[in-house]
Amino acid sequence: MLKTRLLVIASALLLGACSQHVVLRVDFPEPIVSQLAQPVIVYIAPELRRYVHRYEPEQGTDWTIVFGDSQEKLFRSVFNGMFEQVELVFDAEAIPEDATVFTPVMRDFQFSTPGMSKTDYYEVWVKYSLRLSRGSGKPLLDWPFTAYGREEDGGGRSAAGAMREASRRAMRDAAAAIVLNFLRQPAAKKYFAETTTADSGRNSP
Amino acid sequence: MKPCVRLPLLLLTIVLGGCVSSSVEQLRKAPVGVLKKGETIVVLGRRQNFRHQTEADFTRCVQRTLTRKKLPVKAEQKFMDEMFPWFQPRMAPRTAEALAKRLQEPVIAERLKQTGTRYIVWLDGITRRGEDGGSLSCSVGAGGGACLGLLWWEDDAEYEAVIWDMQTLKSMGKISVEASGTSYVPAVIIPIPLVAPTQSAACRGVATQIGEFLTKAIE
Repeated sequence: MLKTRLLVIASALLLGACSQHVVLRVDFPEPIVSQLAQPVIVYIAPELRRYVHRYEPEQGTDWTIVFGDSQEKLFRSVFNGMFEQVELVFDAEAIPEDATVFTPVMRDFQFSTPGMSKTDYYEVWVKYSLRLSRGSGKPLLDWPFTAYGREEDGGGRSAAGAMREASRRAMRDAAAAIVLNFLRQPAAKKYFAETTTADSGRNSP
Repeated sequence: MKPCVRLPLLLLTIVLGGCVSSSVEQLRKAPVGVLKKGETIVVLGRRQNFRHQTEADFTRCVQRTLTRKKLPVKAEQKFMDEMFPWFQPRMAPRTAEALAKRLQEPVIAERLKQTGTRYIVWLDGITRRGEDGGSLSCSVGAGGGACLGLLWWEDDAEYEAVIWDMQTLKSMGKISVEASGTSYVPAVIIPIPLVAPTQSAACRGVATQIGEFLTKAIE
């Protein structure tokens, strides 16, 4: 009985050493920027909400990174900072035809560990694209961008903990990228200049 | 261990382990800054995504040393959240001039005032591994193992701290510190690492000087 128990404990330890499971539970502060009055909808598609990254090499450690509700929290806080009126929508059918809609899409997720890169860092790259459209129509802009985060190995932190921190930093970098660059894109600049003028025209007595 | 072995080892540690020389320079542009109740200091390390990032260890060391001097230091992460995203690595200013420009943006200056951040200490620099040499070999046999040899390396630390007053939005002055230390690992049977605390010496130098720039108001 003791032998079986020891065998089970040893197997669990060995399996644990060969797989890492990271669940991101992250909150993001709202960015401090001048807000635009334009009401906007942020469409969070089911695939973004359910995004899980699995890395299962033939040799070495398996990694599973679960984003959970962190994507939703990221885009909610970014757009709440940038616009006065923001509504998050999870059902494409519920998007009004004349609404200004942002649709974030996660294109790719890559990471490296100190063992892979022969450096002291856990590194994460996330490739997103942010679509701007009128209602559920064709995108007026589909802007791709890459975010990066890293965390130093060691300091008593576990591999999963370091990967979680690198991922958190990459997502914060994504927020910074949107705040810094999105409204500088010519199509976005033109769209918000036109819609703001049209809205102020509608609102004027 | 016999006292006749213990004493030379202790002496060796004291003599070789303390091989750090450092020099500190201070350029002062303003009188001592007095922190009133509710005002805080933030110590920020230069951030850049890939290279030339001031070590987090160094920034933490300066923060801890200032806290021990009873100065009200705000955690870097708290400051980053309050100012999000303007001090994220992608957006963080890379030069003192860029930082000065950033701090003068109305939305940022206003948030700094709201959150009670009175002084920002901007750290820039790095500790680099210099020359190294020596050789050390170890062997293990049936009767046990033993090492013989000597390894050594040099570390060079170079840091600069600029202190900004958020009320006047001007620099109060600059502190430069240079430290270099040689570490040794002599091995006669057992290797004994005698690591020179180069970065710690630079940290102490910077923090002591910051303590001369800033003081807490008597309540």
